[in-house]
Amino acid sequence: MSSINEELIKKYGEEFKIFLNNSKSSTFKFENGVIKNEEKEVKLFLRDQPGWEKVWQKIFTTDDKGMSIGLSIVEPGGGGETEEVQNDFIDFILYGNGKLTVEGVDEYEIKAGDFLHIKKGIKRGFRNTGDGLFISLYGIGTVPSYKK
Amino acid sequence: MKSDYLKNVLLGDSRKFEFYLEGNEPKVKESVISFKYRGQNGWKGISQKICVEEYNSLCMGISTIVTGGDMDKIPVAHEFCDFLLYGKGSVLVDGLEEIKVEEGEYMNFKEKVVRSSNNESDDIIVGIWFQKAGPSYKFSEEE
Repeated sequence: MSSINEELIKKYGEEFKIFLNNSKSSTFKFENGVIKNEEKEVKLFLRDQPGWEKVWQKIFTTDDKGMSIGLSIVEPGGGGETEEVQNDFIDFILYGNGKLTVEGVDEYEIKAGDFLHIKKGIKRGFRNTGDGLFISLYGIGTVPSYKK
Repeated sequence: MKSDYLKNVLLGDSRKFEFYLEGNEPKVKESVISFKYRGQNGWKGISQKICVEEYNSLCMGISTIVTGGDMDKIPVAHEFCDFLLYGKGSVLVDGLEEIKVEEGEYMNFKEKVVRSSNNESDDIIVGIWFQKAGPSYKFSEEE
């Protein structure tokens, strides 16, 4: 039986495997005055919360939970319904085209190459409007509001 | 995909959209961010484009290292997380053996870790990183 990673790579192509495979993470830190490298595996998962569909994520959170960076991989037609952003975050669109909805009214076409800085309190939703994957990487100064 | 992708998306200019509330009213500011060569002492072959939060409390950057590029062993000023987007190279951390890294890997460097990143391949390396502070280096107008 193939893994979900393999199924997605088969569906969307080998060129997306760095996003769709699980990732290795390395944390370089001092512990009792000695430098260490702690390696872990970061797994791809489906963000199956209400109002979200076809959104896969792979999130790395620092061991003190002070910071996270996460890849979001949205299949065609997928996205997240409007919800209030709990913490400021910065997003870079790596691949594809999408639509960002702000406060349920204003709509912005977003595309690969765009940086988005969304401040706490804004209500936003998003949708993949392209035929292929929509991929972005976000950074947040805490842990994401959704936990797997 | 990769050559076009690198050229147009990662290395080209980026639109920056900043969404915020003024009172209860949503506002957006739009600007453009371009790649600049990081001419910092001891660094070579490294260019960056950086999206900075207005009060310097967060920033996200894209860095490229060309073949033979390197950064001096300067302690990390602010803890940051990195996702290696393209290519492969090595990380040298004082007190550890050389660590090979390649695209698809996450890295987290705590403050004060003394590190250097090398590109020993015949291709470019591209990483995207995030930190809870503004950039430690300020580009001059000439850069």
